Amino acid sequence: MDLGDSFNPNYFSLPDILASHVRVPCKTEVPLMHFGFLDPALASEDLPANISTELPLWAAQVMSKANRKYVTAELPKLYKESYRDALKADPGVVDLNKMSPNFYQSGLHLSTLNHREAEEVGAILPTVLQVRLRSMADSFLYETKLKTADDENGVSGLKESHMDALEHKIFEDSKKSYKSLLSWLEKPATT
Amino acid sequence: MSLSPKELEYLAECEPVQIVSNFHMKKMSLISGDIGPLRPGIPCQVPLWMAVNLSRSAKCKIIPPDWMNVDVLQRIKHEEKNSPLFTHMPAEHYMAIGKLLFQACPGEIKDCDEVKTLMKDIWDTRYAKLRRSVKLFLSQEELPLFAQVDHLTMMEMCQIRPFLTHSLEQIYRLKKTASLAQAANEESQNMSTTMSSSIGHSQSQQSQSQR
Repeated sequence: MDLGDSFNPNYFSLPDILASHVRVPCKTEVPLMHFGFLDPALASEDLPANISTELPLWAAQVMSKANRKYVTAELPKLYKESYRDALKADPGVVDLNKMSPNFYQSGLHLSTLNHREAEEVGAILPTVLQVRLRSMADSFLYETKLKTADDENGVSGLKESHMDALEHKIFEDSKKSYKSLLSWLEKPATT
Repeated sequence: MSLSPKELEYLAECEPVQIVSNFHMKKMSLISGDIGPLRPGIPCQVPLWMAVNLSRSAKCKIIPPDWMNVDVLQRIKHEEKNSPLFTHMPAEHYMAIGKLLFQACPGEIKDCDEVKTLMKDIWDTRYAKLRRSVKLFLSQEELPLFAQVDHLTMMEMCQIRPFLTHSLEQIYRLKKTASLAQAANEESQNMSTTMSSSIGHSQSQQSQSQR
Protein backbone atom coordinates (compact mmCIF):
# COMPACT_ATOMS: atom_id res chain seq x y z
CA MET A 1 0.00 0.00 0.00
CA ASP A 2 1.30 3.41 -0.91
CA LEU A 3 1.09 5.90 1.87
CA GLY A 4 2.50 8.67 -0.24
CA ASP A 5 5.90 10.20 -0.48
CA SER A 6 7.03 13.31 1.22
CA PHE A 7 6.71 16.54 -0.74
CA ASN A 8 9.97 17.30 -2.44
CA PRO A 9 9.52 19.58 -5.40
CA ASN A 10 11.42 19.12 -8.65
CA TYR A 11 11.52 21.43 -11.65
CA PHE A 12 8.17 20.20 -13.00
CA SER A 13 6.34 19.97 -9.70
CA LEU A 14 2.96 21.67 -10.11
CA PRO A 15 2.54 22.80 -6.49
CA ASP A 16 5.98 24.35 -6.72
CA ILE A 17 5.12 26.17 -9.95
CA LEU A 18 1.88 27.42 -8.39
CA ALA A 19 3.81 28.58 -5.35
CA SER A 20 6.11 30.68 -7.51
CA HIS A 21 3.14 32.56 -8.98
CA VAL A 22 2.46 34.60 -5.89
CA ARG A 23 2.05 38.25 -6.79
CA VAL A 24 4.83 40.48 -5.57
CA PRO A 25 4.40 44.26 -5.43
CA CYS A 26 7.21 45.88 -7.40
CA LYS A 27 8.36 49.33 -8.37
CA THR A 28 10.15 49.83 -11.66
CA GLU A 29 13.65 51.30 -11.47
CA VAL A 30 14.22 51.82 -15.20
CA PRO A 31 11.79 52.16 -18.11
CA LEU A 32 10.80 48.70 -19.27
CA MET A 33 10.36 48.38 -23.02
CA HIS A 34 7.16 46.68 -24.25
CA PHE A 35 5.94 46.13 -20.71
CA GLY A 36 3.11 48.66 -20.90
CA PHE A 37 0.49 45.88 -20.79
CA LEU A 38 1.19 45.49 -17.09
CA ASP A 39 -0.62 48.75 -16.44
CA PRO A 40 -3.43 49.23 -18.99
CA ALA A 41 -4.31 52.61 -17.50
CA LEU A 42 -1.10 54.07 -18.91
CA ALA A 43 -2.10 53.17 -22.46
CA SER A 44 1.51 53.17 -23.62
CA GLU A 45 3.66 50.40 -25.01
CA ASP A 46 6.51 50.88 -22.57
CA LEU A 47 6.41 50.96 -18.80
CA PRO A 48 8.13 54.09 -17.44
CA ALA A 49 10.36 54.10 -14.36
CA ASN A 50 8.99 54.59 -10.86
CA ILE A 51 5.66 52.86 -11.47
CA SER A 52 4.15 50.47 -8.92
CA THR A 53 2.94 47.21 -10.36
CA GLU A 54 2.69 43.54 -9.50
CA LEU A 55 4.84 40.77 -10.90
CA PRO A 56 4.72 37.04 -10.31
CA LEU A 57 7.32 35.86 -7.87
CA TRP A 58 9.45 34.02 -10.43
CA ALA A 59 9.75 37.19 -12.50
CA ALA A 60 10.34 39.48 -9.56
CA GLN A 61 13.11 37.20 -8.37
CA VAL A 62 15.24 37.61 -11.47
CA MET A 63 14.34 41.24 -12.17
CA SER A 64 15.27 42.51 -8.72
CA LYS A 65 18.74 40.97 -8.42
CA ALA A 66 21.42 43.28 -7.06
CA ASN A 67 23.55 43.21 -10.19
CA ARG A 68 20.68 43.65 -12.68
CA LYS A 69 18.10 45.71 -10.89
CA TYR A 70 15.10 46.52 -13.07
CA VAL A 71 12.55 46.61 -10.27
CA THR A 72 12.52 46.93 -6.50
CA ALA A 73 10.52 44.10 -4.99
CA GLU A 74 8.44 44.44 -1.85
CA LEU A 75 7.19 41.51 0.22
CA PRO A 76 3.58 40.49 -0.38
CA LYS A 77 1.31 41.72 2.40
CA LEU A 78 0.95 38.26 3.94
CA TYR A 79 4.66 37.96 4.56
CA LYS A 80 5.13 41.46 5.98
CA GLU A 81 6.24 42.06 9.53
CA SER A 82 2.77 42.48 11.06
CA TYR A 83 1.61 39.16 9.64
CA ARG A 84 4.86 37.51 10.65
CA ASP A 85 4.37 38.74 14.19
CA ALA A 86 0.90 37.22 14.26
CA LEU A 87 2.35 33.93 13.09
CA LYS A 88 5.07 34.07 15.70
CA ALA A 89 2.55 34.80 18.45
CA ASP A 90 0.32 31.80 17.81
CA PRO A 91 1.02 29.80 14.67
CA GLY A 92 -1.76 27.35 15.46
CA VAL A 93 -4.75 29.62 14.89
CA VAL A 94 -3.78 31.31 11.62
CA ASP A 95 -5.78 30.33 8.55
CA LEU A 96 -2.89 29.62 6.21
CA ASN A 97 -5.10 28.18 3.51
CA LYS A 98 -6.88 31.52 3.20
CA MET A 99 -3.67 33.53 3.38
CA SER A 100 -1.72 31.54 0.85
CA PRO A 101 -2.51 27.96 -0.16
CA ASN A 102 1.18 27.23 -0.68
CA PHE A 103 2.40 29.24 2.26
CA TYR A 104 5.61 27.36 2.98
CA GLN A 105 6.70 26.85 -0.60
CA SER A 106 6.02 30.48 -1.56
CA GLY A 107 7.82 31.52 1.60
CA LEU A 108 10.85 29.50 0.54
CA HIS A 109 10.92 31.25 -2.82
CA LEU A 110 10.46 34.62 -1.16
CA SER A 111 13.40 34.02 1.15
CA THR A 112 15.72 34.23 -1.86
CA LEU A 113 14.24 37.56 -2.99
CA ASN A 114 16.51 40.59 -2.96
CA HIS A 115 14.84 42.29 -0.01
CA ARG A 116 16.15 43.23 3.41
CA GLU A 117 13.51 41.15 5.25
CA ALA A 118 13.66 38.11 2.98
CA GLU A 119 15.87 36.20 5.38
CA GLU A 120 13.40 36.68 8.19
CA VAL A 121 10.64 35.16 6.09
CA GLY A 122 12.76 32.08 5.56
CA ALA A 123 13.68 31.97 9.22
CA ILE A 124 10.13 31.80 10.62
CA LEU A 125 8.94 29.02 8.28
CA PRO A 126 10.44 26.01 10.12
CA THR A 127 9.23 27.25 13.50
CA VAL A 128 5.71 27.85 12.26
CA LEU A 129 5.53 24.44 10.63
CA GLN A 130 6.89 22.72 13.70
CA VAL A 131 4.36 24.29 16.06
CA ARG A 132 1.47 23.65 13.70
CA LEU A 133 2.44 20.03 13.13
CA ARG A 134 2.53 19.54 16.86
CA SER A 135 -1.08 20.55 17.18
CA MET A 136 -1.83 18.32 14.21
CA ALA A 137 -0.08 15.36 15.84
CA ASP A 138 -3.22 13.79 17.18
CA SER A 139 -5.79 15.54 15.05
CA PHE A 140 -5.66 12.82 12.43
CA LEU A 141 -6.98 10.29 14.90
CA TYR A 142 -10.37 11.84 14.60
CA GLU A 143 -11.60 10.86 11.24
CA THR A 144 -14.45 13.27 10.96
CA LYS A 145 -13.88 16.13 13.29
CA LEU A 146 -10.63 17.51 14.55
CA LYS A 147 -9.78 18.30 18.11
CA THR A 148 -11.13 21.60 19.28
CA ALA A 149 -9.50 24.19 21.49
CA ASP A 150 -10.99 22.76 24.66
CA ASP A 151 -9.27 19.37 24.63
CA GLU A 152 -7.25 17.96 27.52
CA ASN A 153 -4.08 20.02 27.41
CA GLY A 154 -5.75 23.19 26.22
CA VAL A 155 -3.52 23.09 23.17
CA SER A 156 -5.50 24.37 20.24
CA GLY A 157 -5.84 21.82 17.48
CA LEU A 158 -5.29 22.60 13.86
CA LYS A 159 -8.42 23.00 11.74
CA GLU A 160 -8.36 21.10 8.50
CA SER A 161 -9.65 24.12 6.59
CA HIS A 162 -6.74 26.16 7.94
CA MET A 163 -4.01 23.91 6.57
CA ASP A 164 -1.91 24.88 3.64
CA ALA A 165 -1.14 22.36 0.89
CA LEU A 166 1.98 20.98 2.58
CA GLU A 167 0.29 20.44 5.92
CA HIS A 168 -2.74 18.97 4.25
CA LYS A 169 -0.64 16.37 2.51
CA ILE A 170 0.97 15.24 5.76
CA PHE A 171 -2.45 15.22 7.39
CA GLU A 172 -4.00 13.07 4.66
CA ASP A 173 -1.13 10.55 4.73
CA SER A 174 -1.34 10.22 8.50
CA LYS A 175 -5.08 9.79 8.38
CA LYS A 176 -4.75 7.11 5.75
CA SER A 177 -2.41 5.02 7.86
CA TYR A 178 -4.69 5.30 10.86
CA LYS A 179 -7.73 4.34 8.82
CA SER A 180 -5.98 1.29 7.41
CA LEU A 181 -5.25 0.16 10.96
CA LEU A 182 -8.87 0.62 12.01
CA SER A 183 -10.22 -1.34 9.08
CA TRP A 184 -7.66 -4.11 9.67
CA LEU A 185 -8.65 -4.40 13.32
CA GLU A 186 -12.31 -4.72 12.44
CA LYS A 187 -12.01 -7.09 9.52
CA PRO A 188 -11.60 -10.87 10.01
CA ALA A 189 -8.16 -12.21 9.01
CA THR A 190 -7.68 -13.06 5.35
CA THR A 191 -6.07 -16.50 5.61
CA MET B 1 6.34 4.40 2.20
CA SER B 2 5.16 2.25 5.00
CA LEU B 3 3.83 -1.27 5.41
CA SER B 4 0.10 -1.63 5.81
CA PRO B 5 -1.39 -3.70 8.64
CA LYS B 6 -2.30 -6.37 6.09
CA GLU B 7 1.28 -6.71 4.94
CA LEU B 8 2.40 -6.90 8.55
CA GLU B 9 -0.11 -9.65 9.14
CA TYR B 10 1.55 -11.53 6.30
CA LEU B 11 4.93 -11.13 7.97
CA ALA B 12 3.49 -12.30 11.28
CA GLU B 13 2.31 -15.51 9.63
CA CYS B 14 5.93 -16.65 9.38
CA GLU B 15 6.34 -16.66 13.16
CA PRO B 16 6.70 -20.19 14.57
CA VAL B 17 3.95 -21.64 16.71
CA GLN B 18 3.50 -25.01 18.47
CA ILE B 19 0.86 -27.41 17.25
CA VAL B 20 -0.25 -30.92 18.08
CA SER B 21 -1.37 -32.62 14.90
CA ASN B 22 -3.63 -35.64 14.62
CA PHE B 23 -2.09 -37.06 11.45
CA HIS B 24 1.24 -38.28 10.09
CA MET B 25 3.29 -36.13 7.75
CA LYS B 26 6.81 -36.61 6.47
CA LYS B 27 9.34 -33.83 6.75
CA MET B 28 8.52 -31.07 4.30
CA SER B 29 11.37 -28.97 2.89
CA LEU B 30 10.40 -25.41 1.98
CA ILE B 31 12.57 -22.47 0.97
CA SER B 32 12.31 -20.94 4.43
CA GLY B 33 13.26 -24.20 6.12
CA ASP B 34 12.10 -27.69 7.00
CA ILE B 35 8.75 -28.35 8.61
CA GLY B 36 7.89 -31.48 10.56
CA PRO B 37 7.84 -34.42 10.60
CA LEU B 38 4.41 -34.38 12.24
CA ARG B 39 3.24 -37.25 14.42
CA PRO B 40 -0.12 -37.44 16.13
CA GLY B 41 -0.02 -36.29 19.72
CA ILE B 42 3.53 -34.92 19.60
CA PRO B 43 3.97 -31.13 19.69
CA CYS B 44 5.82 -29.65 16.76
CA GLN B 45 6.81 -26.17 15.64
CA VAL B 46 5.36 -24.89 12.37
CA PRO B 47 4.82 -21.44 10.86
CA LEU B 48 1.65 -19.67 11.89
CA TRP B 49 0.14 -19.74 8.40
CA MET B 50 0.36 -23.51 8.32
CA ALA B 51 -1.02 -23.89 11.83
CA VAL B 52 -4.01 -21.71 10.98
CA ASN B 53 -4.66 -23.67 7.81
CA LEU B 54 -4.42 -27.07 9.47
CA SER B 55 -6.57 -26.08 12.39
CA ARG B 56 -9.23 -24.82 10.02
CA SER B 57 -9.53 -28.28 8.52
CA ALA B 58 -9.47 -29.72 12.07
CA LYS B 59 -6.13 -31.50 11.55
CA CYS B 60 -4.33 -30.02 14.50
CA LYS B 61 -4.62 -28.20 17.77
CA ILE B 62 -2.72 -24.95 18.15
CA ILE B 63 -0.91 -24.41 21.44
CA PRO B 64 -1.09 -20.67 22.07
CA PRO B 65 2.23 -18.95 22.86
CA ASP B 66 3.25 -18.77 26.53
CA TRP B 67 2.60 -15.06 26.77
CA MET B 68 -0.99 -15.37 25.66
CA ASN B 69 -2.49 -15.75 29.09
CA VAL B 70 -4.08 -13.41 31.56
CA ASP B 71 -1.27 -13.39 34.17
CA VAL B 72 1.54 -12.53 31.76
CA LEU B 73 -0.48 -9.94 29.90
CA GLN B 74 -1.60 -8.30 33.11
CA ARG B 75 2.02 -8.00 34.20
CA ILE B 76 3.00 -6.54 30.83
CA LYS B 77 0.14 -4.08 30.97
CA HIS B 78 1.15 -3.00 34.45
CA GLU B 79 4.78 -2.54 33.42
CA GLU B 80 3.77 -0.64 30.31
CA LYS B 81 1.59 1.74 32.31
CA ASN B 82 4.27 2.49 34.89
CA SER B 83 7.25 2.83 32.60
CA PRO B 84 8.02 6.12 30.87
CA LEU B 85 9.70 4.23 28.04
CA PHE B 86 8.38 1.41 25.94
CA THR B 87 8.74 -2.03 27.47
CA HIS B 88 9.78 -5.21 25.74
CA MET B 89 6.94 -7.05 24.06
CA PRO B 90 6.87 -10.86 24.11
CA ALA B 91 6.42 -11.02 20.34
CA GLU B 92 7.35 -8.66 17.54
CA HIS B 93 3.95 -9.09 15.91
CA TYR B 94 1.84 -9.47 19.02
CA MET B 95 -1.19 -7.71 17.55
CA ALA B 96 -1.25 -9.72 14.33
CA ILE B 97 -0.54 -13.05 16.04
CA GLY B 98 -3.29 -12.31 18.52
CA LYS B 99 -5.73 -11.46 15.80
CA LEU B 100 -4.98 -14.61 13.79
CA LEU B 101 -5.17 -16.91 16.80
CA PHE B 102 -8.35 -15.41 18.21
CA GLN B 103 -9.96 -16.21 14.93
CA ALA B 104 -8.39 -19.61 14.31
CA CYS B 105 -8.68 -21.20 17.74
CA PRO B 106 -10.62 -19.14 20.28
CA GLY B 107 -11.31 -22.36 22.17
CA GLU B 108 -7.63 -23.15 22.80
CA ILE B 109 -6.89 -19.83 24.48
CA LYS B 110 -7.80 -19.71 28.14
CA ASP B 111 -10.04 -16.73 29.03
CA CYS B 112 -10.03 -15.69 25.39
CA ASP B 113 -12.12 -12.56 25.85
CA GLU B 114 -10.06 -11.28 28.74
CA VAL B 115 -6.84 -11.90 26.84
CA LYS B 116 -8.28 -10.00 23.91
CA THR B 117 -9.19 -7.04 26.09
CA LEU B 118 -5.80 -7.02 27.77
CA MET B 119 -4.00 -7.02 24.44
CA LYS B 120 -6.12 -4.16 23.21
CA ASP B 121 -5.37 -2.27 26.42
CA ILE B 122 -1.65 -2.80 25.97
CA TRP B 123 -1.88 -1.61 22.38
CA ASP B 124 -3.83 1.48 23.39
CA THR B 125 -1.39 2.33 26.17
CA ARG B 126 1.55 1.99 23.84
CA TYR B 127 -0.14 3.94 21.08
CA ALA B 128 -1.01 6.80 23.39
CA LYS B 129 2.58 6.81 24.64
CA LEU B 130 3.83 6.86 21.07
CA ARG B 131 1.73 9.86 20.16
CA ARG B 132 2.76 11.67 23.30
CA SER B 133 6.42 11.15 22.58
CA VAL B 134 5.98 12.26 18.97
CA LYS B 135 4.44 15.49 20.21
CA LEU B 136 7.25 15.91 22.70
CA PHE B 137 9.74 15.26 19.93
CA LEU B 138 8.20 18.04 17.84
CA SER B 139 8.01 20.41 20.80
CA GLN B 140 11.71 20.85 21.23
CA GLU B 141 13.15 24.11 20.03
CA GLU B 142 16.14 22.55 18.34
CA LEU B 143 15.21 19.24 16.84
CA PRO B 144 17.13 16.61 18.79
CA LEU B 145 19.36 14.21 16.96
CA PHE B 146 17.91 11.05 18.41
CA ALA B 147 14.91 9.62 20.17
CA GLN B 148 14.80 6.43 22.15
CA VAL B 149 12.50 4.03 20.36
CA ASP B 150 13.59 0.68 21.78
CA HIS B 151 11.08 -2.14 21.82
CA LEU B 152 8.71 -0.55 19.35
CA THR B 153 7.03 -3.24 17.30
CA MET B 154 6.75 -3.04 13.54
CA MET B 155 3.04 -2.29 13.62
CA GLU B 156 3.60 0.73 15.84
CA MET B 157 6.44 2.06 13.73
CA CYS B 158 4.47 1.72 10.52
CA GLN B 159 1.55 3.53 12.10
CA ILE B 160 3.55 6.59 13.04
CA ARG B 161 5.87 6.61 10.07
CA PRO B 162 3.86 8.69 7.58
CA PHE B 163 3.33 11.48 10.06
CA LEU B 164 6.69 11.57 11.80
CA THR B 165 9.05 11.11 8.88
CA HIS B 166 7.19 13.47 6.56
CA SER B 167 6.95 16.12 9.27
CA LEU B 168 10.61 15.97 10.16
CA GLU B 169 11.62 15.94 6.53
CA GLN B 170 9.64 19.07 5.76
CA ILE B 171 10.95 20.91 8.81
CA TYR B 172 14.44 19.94 7.81
CA ARG B 173 13.87 21.08 4.23
CA LEU B 174 12.63 24.49 5.36
CA LYS B 175 15.51 24.89 7.78
CA LYS B 176 18.10 23.91 5.23
CA THR B 177 16.72 26.30 2.64
CA ALA B 178 16.52 29.14 5.13
CA SER B 179 20.17 28.73 6.08
CA LEU B 180 21.20 28.36 2.44
CA ALA B 181 19.36 31.55 1.51
CA GLN B 182 21.03 33.32 4.40
CA ALA B 183 24.46 32.20 3.25
CA ALA B 184 23.70 33.24 -0.32
CA ASN B 185 22.50 36.66 0.80
CA GLU B 186 25.58 37.23 2.90
CA GLU B 187 27.75 36.26 0.01
CA SER B 188 25.99 38.57 -2.40
CA GLN B 189 26.45 41.42 0.08
CA ASN B 190 30.15 40.67 0.30
CA MET B 191 30.25 40.42 -3.42
CA SER B 192 28.81 43.88 -3.98
CA THR B 193 31.62 45.40 -1.91
CA THR B 194 34.56 43.37 -3.14
CA MET B 195 33.23 42.33 -6.54
CA SER B 196 35.11 39.09 -6.24
CA SER B 197 34.99 36.40 -8.88
CA SER B 198 32.50 34.23 -7.02
CA ILE B 199 29.42 35.28 -9.02
CA GLY B 200 28.91 31.87 -10.53
CA HIS B 201 29.27 30.22 -7.17
CA SER B 202 26.76 32.44 -5.42
CA GLN B 203 24.29 32.05 -8.25
CA SER B 204 24.51 28.29 -8.17
CA GLN B 205 23.90 28.43 -4.45
CA GLN B 206 20.88 30.60 -4.93
CA SER B 207 19.37 28.34 -7.53
CA GLN B 208 20.04 25.42 -5.21
CA SER B 209 18.26 27.10 -2.39
CA GLN B 210 15.18 27.66 -4.49
CA ARG B 211 14.55 23.96 -4.64
